[in-house]
Amino acid sequence: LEASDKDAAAAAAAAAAEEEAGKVVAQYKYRLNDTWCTLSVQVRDLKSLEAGNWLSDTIIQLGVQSILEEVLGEQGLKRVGALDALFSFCLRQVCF
Amino acid sequence: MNPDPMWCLQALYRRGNGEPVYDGLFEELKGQMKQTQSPDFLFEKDFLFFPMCLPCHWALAVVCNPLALVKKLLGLPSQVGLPETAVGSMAVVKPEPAIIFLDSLGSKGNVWCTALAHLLVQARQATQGELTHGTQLPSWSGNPQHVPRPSVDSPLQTNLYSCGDHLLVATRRVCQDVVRPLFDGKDTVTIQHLEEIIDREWYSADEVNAERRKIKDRVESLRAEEDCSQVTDDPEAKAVQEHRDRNRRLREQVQDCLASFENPNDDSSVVTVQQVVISEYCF
Repeated sequence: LEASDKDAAAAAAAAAAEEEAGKVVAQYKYRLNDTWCTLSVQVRDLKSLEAGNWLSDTIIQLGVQSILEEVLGEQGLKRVGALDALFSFCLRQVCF
Repeated sequence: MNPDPMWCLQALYRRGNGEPVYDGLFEELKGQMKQTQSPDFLFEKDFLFFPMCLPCHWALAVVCNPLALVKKLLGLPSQVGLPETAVGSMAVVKPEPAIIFLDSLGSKGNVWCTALAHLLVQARQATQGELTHGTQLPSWSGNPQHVPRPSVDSPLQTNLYSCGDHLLVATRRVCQDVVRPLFDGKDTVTIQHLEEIIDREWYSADEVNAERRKIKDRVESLRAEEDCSQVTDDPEAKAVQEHRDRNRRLREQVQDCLASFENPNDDSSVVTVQQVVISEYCF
């Protein structure tokens, strides 16, 4: 194979792997101030979770929201909010 | 491509002096508020849980009484510790304003807490109509000493990957030990009280391991609940997912960078690199 063919094959394989990793395996819907929000758990989130690796922001968000619901209940949840982990990227922009 | 480690770190940590980073902040803030519909959402709550994604690391910030915190920072009067509202016949006692920073690598998070306080002040100004898109915001001038915070040492992680698990256990324990007793009228939340209950032995390693099992079970139960072969067509959900994907790729770049520092035969070296990075930029 020519070098360009090898590159093309590698790129195609990488794209296929990326597509597979991005498949949604579960969805979590939660209520935030009268609005329904949806978190989509992808194959990559699940693999990292099962392999005992670093937790993704989707899993962290799902975990935090689940714990708030479990421990505080519907009434308690009205007095507590959970900011999206994505927001901290924004905060980092301000800091540095 | 193996990115240049120093380039990556500098790109992530470069200061925003003179750069239009604030417009991005405002758009993010607006997006967050749009999701919740009520622009005052942040200040109607008694507690805000904020999972903070530091470079290759998770830490938890909990804001107690955000409205009173902002008032305190702006030098405005506030009825801290007194019943401020009533639900039925029950008076509702508010927590003392503070930011709790819980980091399983042991950092105090001075910069992050100050930045978060600064952000809350800006959010309040935005909701009060004092800030509109394109407004030139003041340069960074927060002083960590001005942000009320308990001095706490929470449990430390003993491996390279459990920061997220620690974050989840810390969330659970804050709910159980701090938030719930206040809501049940059994206890108050003061900085002194927080310093008494949070220490290195606050929760055990077993609890940390159990938390990962719980979140795995939760995901499995969600998988069993519905068929997700059809990805949602909701444009807002798609936009959020694209944002997550972009940030994930950025984080993977940094992880690659850090991995290039590590000696694969010595696990402790990675923690050292993380600690160096965090201590350099967060203390």
